[in-house]
Amino acid sequence: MKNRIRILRAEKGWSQADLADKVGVSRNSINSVENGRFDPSLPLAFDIADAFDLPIEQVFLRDRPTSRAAE
Amino acid sequence: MKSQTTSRLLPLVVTIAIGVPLIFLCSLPFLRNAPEWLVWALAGFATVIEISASLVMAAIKDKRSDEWHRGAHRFGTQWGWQIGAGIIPLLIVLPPVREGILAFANWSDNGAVITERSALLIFLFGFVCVVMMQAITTAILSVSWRVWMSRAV
Repeated sequence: MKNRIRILRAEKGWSQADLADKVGVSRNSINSVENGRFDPSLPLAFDIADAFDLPIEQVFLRDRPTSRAAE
Repeated sequence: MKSQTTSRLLPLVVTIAIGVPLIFLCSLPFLRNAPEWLVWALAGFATVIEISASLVMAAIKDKRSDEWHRGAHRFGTQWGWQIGAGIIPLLIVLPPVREGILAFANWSDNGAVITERSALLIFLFGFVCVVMMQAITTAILSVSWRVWMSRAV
């Protein structure tokens, strides 16, 4: 799953640790999610989107077409 | 406040978890000549303390974990336990390991023919080896997962 966390963090001037504090997880979690290596759970994805005051679809993006689109 | 309590509790619990088996191992020479009931009573007592300490440690760790850490734990246990258990039969193939097991069995009964006590000790020793190996491989894989997930793009 792709995401815009790095860009959004840069806009806000937040470090990974800052975002981790706001969301209530470890910096490692934010680092792995940001790099696309770890797909967050839905609650965590919503928490991250909430931290940026954005809807979830503006933070997280699909990295492959939906099954419906593939048909 | 709760977090401070668990922070203070953790070193104590870790000390107990490491200390109890060490004390038990160090007392083996004494236990060899001790009455059977005393050995089993002490072993049971040590086991209860060890399991309790392990449960408290697991609860503290779970409280501090987020889903990323739980992912590392899941990966570590999923593969570590299987690999760790598989390593034991391979180790037993090695002559020095086999000789060590026999030496331990002979030592436990002062070189006499292997008795029930020796057989039980060897069985328990084997079980402890498997669990220890699984714990080691689980820890290594868990750390590897964390390093892999934290690497730069």
